[in-house]
Amino acid sequence: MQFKSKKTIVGMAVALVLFIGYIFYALSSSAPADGDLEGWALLMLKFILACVIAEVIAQILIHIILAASVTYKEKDESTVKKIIDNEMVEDEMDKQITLKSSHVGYGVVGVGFVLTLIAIAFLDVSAILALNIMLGVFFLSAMADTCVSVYMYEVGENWCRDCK
Amino acid sequence: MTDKIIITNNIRKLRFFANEMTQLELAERTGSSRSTIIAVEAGKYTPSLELAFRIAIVFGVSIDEVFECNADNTK
Repeated sequence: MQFKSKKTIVGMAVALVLFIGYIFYALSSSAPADGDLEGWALLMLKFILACVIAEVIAQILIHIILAASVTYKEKDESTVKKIIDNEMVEDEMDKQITLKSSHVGYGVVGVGFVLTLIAIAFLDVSAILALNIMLGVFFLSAMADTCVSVYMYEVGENWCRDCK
Repeated sequence: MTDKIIITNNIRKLRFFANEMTQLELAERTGSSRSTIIAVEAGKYTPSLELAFRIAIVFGVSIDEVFECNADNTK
């Protein structure tokens, strides 16, 4: 598995753990009250901040692990530097994969937003529930983005070249 | 509907004849990452025209010696 896939998977795993934690907290008795919109907004802001911090820490850790594993495998210092530098290069394939995966992510957000609006309009969903659904939609979109990205790195864009 | 185009490449062979050039070296010389070279070599990714030319320049051959194109007429 490629380093970029691993990096993406670690990011996704961190986000997944935090989101599960958020769900447990949101369903617990210590969550803000039903009508407390301000409290929920603050909780979500804290969750987003925690996600950003956790993501940065995870990325730093995975880069340290990469450096350590490459150093362990390769004894020559210049080769180690070359490999690490090369892993950091963002070239045309990375840009193309980012473009395609974000396209899928935006699609998920778009559909989720419309579904949330439908839920508010026809199912009498409260503003707090709608906010939580939107947060879930953003999370799903990030997951879809990650899955497409990993898929493209591992299987490639020409996966169907032999399909008849 | 247009015919499907299948692009194959001879990068592995060309690397062999270039004194077993490593994928990392080819990546460095073409300004791309090793993962891109791996994907191109395995046929998982079709490179841009620019990268295709860069690969050909590194091996000192014409682009059609690196990449071959076959139109799939079976459909």
